Amino acid sequence: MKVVKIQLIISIGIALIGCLDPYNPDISDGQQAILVVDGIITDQPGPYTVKIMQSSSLNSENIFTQGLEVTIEEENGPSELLVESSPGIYQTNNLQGVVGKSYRLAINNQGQRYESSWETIYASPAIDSIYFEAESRATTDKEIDQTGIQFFVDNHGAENGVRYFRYEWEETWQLGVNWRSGNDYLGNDMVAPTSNPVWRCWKNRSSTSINLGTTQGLSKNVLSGHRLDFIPSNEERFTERYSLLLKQYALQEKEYRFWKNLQESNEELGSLFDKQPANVVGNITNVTDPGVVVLGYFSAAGSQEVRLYLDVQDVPGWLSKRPACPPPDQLLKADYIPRSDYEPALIQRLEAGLFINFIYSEFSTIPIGALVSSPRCSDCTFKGGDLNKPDFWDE
Amino acid sequence: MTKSILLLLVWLVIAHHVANGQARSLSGSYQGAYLIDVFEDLESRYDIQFYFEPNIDSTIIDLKFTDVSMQEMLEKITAISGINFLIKDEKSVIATGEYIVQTELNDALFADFKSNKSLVKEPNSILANIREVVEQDIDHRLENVVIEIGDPIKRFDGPSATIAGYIKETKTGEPVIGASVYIKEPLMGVITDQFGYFALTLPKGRHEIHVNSTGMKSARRQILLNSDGSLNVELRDDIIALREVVVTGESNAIDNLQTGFANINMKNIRQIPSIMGEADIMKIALTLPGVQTVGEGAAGFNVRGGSADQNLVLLNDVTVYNTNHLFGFFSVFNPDVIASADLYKSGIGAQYGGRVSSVFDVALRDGNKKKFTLKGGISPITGKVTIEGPIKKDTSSYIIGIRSTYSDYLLSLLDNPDLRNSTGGFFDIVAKVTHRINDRNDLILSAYHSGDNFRLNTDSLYEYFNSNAALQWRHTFSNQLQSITSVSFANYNYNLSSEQNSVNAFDLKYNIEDYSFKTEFSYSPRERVFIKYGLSAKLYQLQPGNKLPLGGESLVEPVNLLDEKALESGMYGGYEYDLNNRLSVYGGFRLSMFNRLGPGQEFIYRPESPKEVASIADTISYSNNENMKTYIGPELRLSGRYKLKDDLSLKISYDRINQYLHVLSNTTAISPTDAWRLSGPAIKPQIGNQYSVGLYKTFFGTSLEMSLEGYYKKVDNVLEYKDGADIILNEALETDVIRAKGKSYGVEMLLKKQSGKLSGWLSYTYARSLIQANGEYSDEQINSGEYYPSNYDKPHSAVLITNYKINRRVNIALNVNYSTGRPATFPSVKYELKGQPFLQYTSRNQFRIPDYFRIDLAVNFEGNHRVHKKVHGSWSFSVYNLTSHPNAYSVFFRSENGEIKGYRLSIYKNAVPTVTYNFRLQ
Repeated sequence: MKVVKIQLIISIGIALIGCLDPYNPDISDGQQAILVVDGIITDQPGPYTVKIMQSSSLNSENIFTQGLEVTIEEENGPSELLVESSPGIYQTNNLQGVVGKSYRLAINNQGQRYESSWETIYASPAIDSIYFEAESRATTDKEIDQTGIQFFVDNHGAENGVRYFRYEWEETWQLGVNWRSGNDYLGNDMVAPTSNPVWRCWKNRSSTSINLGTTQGLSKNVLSGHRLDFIPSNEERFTERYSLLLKQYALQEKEYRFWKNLQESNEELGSLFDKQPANVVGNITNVTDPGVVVLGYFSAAGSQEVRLYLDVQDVPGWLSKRPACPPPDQLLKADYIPRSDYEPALIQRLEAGLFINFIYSEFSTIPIGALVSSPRCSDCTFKGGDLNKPDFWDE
Repeated sequence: MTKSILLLLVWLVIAHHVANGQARSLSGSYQGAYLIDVFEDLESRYDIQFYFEPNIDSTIIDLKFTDVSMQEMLEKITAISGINFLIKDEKSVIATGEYIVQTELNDALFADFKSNKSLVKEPNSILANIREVVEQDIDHRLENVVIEIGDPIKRFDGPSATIAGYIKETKTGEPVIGASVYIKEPLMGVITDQFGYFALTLPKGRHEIHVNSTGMKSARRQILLNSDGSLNVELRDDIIALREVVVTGESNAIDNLQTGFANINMKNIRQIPSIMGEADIMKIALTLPGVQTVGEGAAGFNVRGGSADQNLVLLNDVTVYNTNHLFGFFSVFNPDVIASADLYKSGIGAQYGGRVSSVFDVALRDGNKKKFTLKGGISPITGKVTIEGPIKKDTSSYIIGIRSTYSDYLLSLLDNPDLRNSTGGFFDIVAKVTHRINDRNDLILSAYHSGDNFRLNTDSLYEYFNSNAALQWRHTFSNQLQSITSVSFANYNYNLSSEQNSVNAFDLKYNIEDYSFKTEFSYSPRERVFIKYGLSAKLYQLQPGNKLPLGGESLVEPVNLLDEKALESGMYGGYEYDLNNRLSVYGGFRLSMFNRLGPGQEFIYRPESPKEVASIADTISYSNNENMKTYIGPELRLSGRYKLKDDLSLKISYDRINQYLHVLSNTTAISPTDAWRLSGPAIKPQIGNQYSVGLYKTFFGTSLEMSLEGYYKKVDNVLEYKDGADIILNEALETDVIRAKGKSYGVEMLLKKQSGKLSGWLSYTYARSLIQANGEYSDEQINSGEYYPSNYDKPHSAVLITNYKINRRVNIALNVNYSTGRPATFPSVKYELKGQPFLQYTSRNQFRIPDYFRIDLAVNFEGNHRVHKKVHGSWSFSVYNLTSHPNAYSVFFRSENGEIKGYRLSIYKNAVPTVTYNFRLQ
C-alpha cells in the first residue's frame, strides 16, 4: 500500500526581513578628548596641510585644536615649523616633499610631545585613465532603479612599485538657469546689456569618504576598473558641464591597512555577519606619555592628479534635466497694461528682486515689454553657486 | 476486507452486550480526584477494567456513591464530567467521551447503518474506538501473560540475569530509539540505543517490565526471568495521544543520572509555531534553558555561555561541521527523516569528546520495515520528498529524504537591493539503510549530503557543502556484552568566487575532512552496573585556504596555505553503578590525544616581543606525517544522583573536555567564511571544566516536573581575535588571535507539564558568560585585561511554551520568549579624517542591544482520527512574532555621506503569518 503525505504551506502577509531603522541609544559621553591628527606630505608642490582636532561626542561639531607647535621634519634634513592659517589648520610654507625621503610630524603642546613614525614618499604611478559608464542601481524601493554614471580609474605601476592607493577628488560643476536675464534697465525705456550676469555659476565639493584601491595579490601591478564616485541622474552635479580632479596617493601597506580597518569599522556594517567594530591605531604616539591614545595618521605619499571634463552631451542617453520652472510672466506695454502703468510695474518687479528680459518687436529697438521670472528660475546664486569662474575652468 | 473487519467488530460488541445485565453494588467517595485516579481505584477494588483516551486524564471530579449499580455510577460520572460510557461487558467500561453510544445503534449498524446515521454524531469514530478496544484487548493479553525467559534449569545459578532485545514500532517495524525499559520495584532501567536495542540485568524471578517512549503507547510485559534471554516488544504509535510532549528531560528526570540533558522528539514537534512552516529541531533546542542564539537568523547556537564552535553536533554519530542552511534561517536537519535529538549540556559521558560546551546528537529515523511509503511536502521555500520501505521485510529497510529550495521567495522580500537581487538556495539528501543480519548482528549505513549556494548581486558566488557517511555495526557477544563499531567520513568545504571585476576575479576554497574509526563496548556484568568503554581515532585533513585566479583576464596571484593534518584519538571508559534505589554514581575517564602532523610550518617568534609577523625569527618545516605537536588531555567525567524522596532527586556532575578544533571568527554570528582550524604548535587546545548541580522534582504523580540546575564553567585557551584581525588566508594565524579565558555560570529553571489539556513548559535562565584576555602585550589585552561579556552573554532569558487542547481536534499553542539584549560594542567618541567622520570604540561589548521579546501563536485543527480513512488532513495557522515587536539583531553606527548614523537591524520586524495544510493519502 502506498502512503502519500503531502504538505502544503501558504504564507500570507509580507514579512519585512532585514529592516533597518534609525536608532540612537543613549551613549553616555564624558570621554576624555583625544587628539586627532590628519596630515599629509606629498611629492607635489605644497603647501601641505595638517589638521589637528579633538574627538567629540557623537552629535557635536568638530573641535579644532589651536595654538600648537607643529613641525614636519625630514630625516637627516631640515624641519619646518607650520603656520596656523586658520584655527586647527597648520600649513607649510617652503617645504617640498621628495620621493625617497622620509618625513615625520612632531607636535608640542603643554609639555606633551607627539610624534609620528618616519614615513617615506614612494612615487605614484601615473593615472592611466578616468572613464565612466552609465549604470542603473537597484534601490530599497523595488519599483525604482537609480540611473546614473559611475566613474572608474585605471593605472599600472612597476612590478616592485607601490601597490596600495587612496583616492580623493574635487568635483566642480557649472550650473545654469532656466530663464536667462540679459539686460539691466536704466529707466525710461533705456536698456543695457547686464553688467552682472547671474545665469551661470559654479559649485564644488570634495570627496567625503575614504576610497582605497590595491593591486596586492595580483600577478601584475595593474589597477583596473577601480570604482570612484557614482552620480545619480537626478542630481544637479551633472546638468551642464562637470569637472573631476582626481588625486591618487601611493600608500605603504601599513597606511592602507589603517584606512581599510577604519572603513570596516565605520562603513561595512549592517549585515548578518558584521565584524565587530574595533579601534584603529595610526602612526602617531605621545612620546611623553605612551599610554595616551592619539588618533589619526601622518601620511607621506607620492601623488598624481588628473582633471577630467565632461559635458552633458558627452553622456549618451543622459536624462538629467534642470528642475522645471514656470514660464515667465509677460509684461507688455500695449496689451492689457496701460502704458502709463508699465514702467512703475516694471520697477516694482525689479525692486522685488525679480528678473526681466526685454521683448522687442521686429520694428523697434525700444522694448515693447518684458518677461519676468523669479530668482529660482533666473539667478544661479539662488542654487548656492559661485558666480566667479574657477581659475582652472576650461570652457 | 475492510468490511469484514467492520462486521467482526460489531459482532464483538454485540456478543459482549448479550452477557451484560447483571447489577453490581459499588461504593466510593472522591474529592478533587483526577478521573484517571477514580478509574484506577475502582479497578483495584472491583473487577472492572476501564478503557479511555489519554485526553480525559486531566478531568477532576467530586463524587460520592454508595451501593449503586455500575450503570448508576457511570451516569453520575457522566453528569459531572460530561463523559459518556459504554459498558462492554460487566467488566469493561469504555469511556466514549462526547459520544453517546446507544445499544440500538449496534443493531442498526448490523442491518444497514446508512439509515440510522442521525442517531449519533459519528458512528465511524466509535468504530475506531471499538477497534482500539480490540487492539487493547490484544495488548491486554500480551501484557498479562507471564513470559518465561531463559532456561528454567538455570533458575538458581546466580542471583541475576540479563534480558536483551529490540523495541520496535508495530506498524512500521522501525526501532524505537531512546525508549525506557525498566522495572518499578526496585527501580532499574535502561534506554534503547540507535538500533532500538536494550540489555537489562535484573534479579531473577518475576518482574513487570515497562516500556515507555514519547508519542508511543506504553507497554508492559510480565516476565519470569530464569536466565539470560531475549525479549522484543512492539509499541503502538499513539495516534490519539496528546501531542504536546515535545521535549523530555529523559523519561523520568528524577531517576536518570544525567544533569543538563534534554531529548527532543521529532514526532511531536508541530506544536511549536514555525516560520514558513519548516519544523526545525535546532529551533526547538533554542527554547530550552541554557541554549541561546545571538539573534534570529544567526547561525549556530550557544550552550551555557559557550561559543557556537564548542558544540559537538552529530548526525548518526558523525560530525556535522556546518549546521546551517541559508546562513542560519534553517538547520541542515530535514525534519522528515529525523527521529530525535539528545542535547547534553553537562554530565557528558566519556564516550563523547572534542567540544567543550555541549553534545547535540541527532538520530536519523529508520525506514519502514513493513511497507513502502512516500511522503511529500511543499512550502513557499522548500519542497521535500521522503521515501522509505523494506528491502527485505522485517529485516532490512531504507529511507531517503530529499529536500531542496525552489524559489528565492525569502530573499525577494528583503529591502536591501544587494540582497534582493541575490539568489540563494540549498538542498540536502539523507539516506539510511538498516539491516538485521541475525539476532546478534545489525548494520546501519547512513549518508548525508547537502549544498548551499548564495549568489550576491549576480557577481559573487558563495557555496558550501557538507557530506558524511557512516557504517555502524552492532554485535552482541552476549546479553552482558555488546559492541558498536563504526567507520565514518565527514567533509565540509566552501567556495567563494567573485567575478565583479574580471581583473580581480578569484575563487577561494576551503576544505576540511575527517576519517574516523570508533569501537565501543557496553558491558553489564551484573544488575545495576553498566560499563561502557571504547577507542576512537580520527584523522583530520584540512585545506585552510586556496585562492586562485578565475577566468583568463584575472591577474589574481594564487595563494595556497599549507594543508593541515592531525590525528585525534581517544580511549575511554565509564562505569555506572546504582548502589541502591536512592544513589547512583557514574565515573568516566577519557584520555584524549591530539597529534598535529606535518607537512607544516612552525614560526618561532623572537622572545620578549609580541607575536607579529615582523617578529618571526625562525621557521621550522615539518615533512609529511612528521609529528609537529602532541597534546594529551586526561578528562574526568563524574556524576551522581541521590533520591531524597521518591519524587525529588539531587544530582551533581563534573566534566572536563579538551577541544582541538576551533572556529575563528571576528563576527558576532557564524559567518560564511568562518573556518575550522586545528590546534598546533601555536594554538593550544581549549580545555573546559564544568561543575553542575541540579534538583529535580515531580508533582501530582509525574504530570508536573520541575528542575533547577546550576553550573559553573571555565574554559582555558579560548580564542579571541585582535582588533582588525584578518582571519581568511592568514598564514600565521596566531599573530591575529589572543588566548583568552572563558568563565560562565548560571541557574536554569524548568517547569514542565506533560499531560492534561494544558501542557508545555516554562523556563527561566540566569546566566553570565565572560571572557578575559590578559596577554603580556597591550595588543593581547582586551578591555585592559578585565573580564568582559562575551557576544552571547544574555543574563536573563525566559521561555514559555504552552499548548491548550480545546478538544481532540483543536489545539492552541502560545509561546513567549524574552531575553536580555546581547552585548554590543558602541562608540564612545567620533573624530574626522579627510572630511569623513569616524568612530572610536573604547571597549568591547560594554553596551547591550535592546531586549528581545516575541510571542508566537498557532492554532492547529486536526482531521478526525479514524484510522482507516482515505485522507488525513490537518490545518495549522501560525503567527510568528504576533505583536510585531521589532527585535534588534544588531545595533550599529555607520559613517554615511559625512554623517554618523545609528541603526537597528531587525530580521522580522512584522508578524509573520503562515498557513499550513498537511494531508496524507492512504
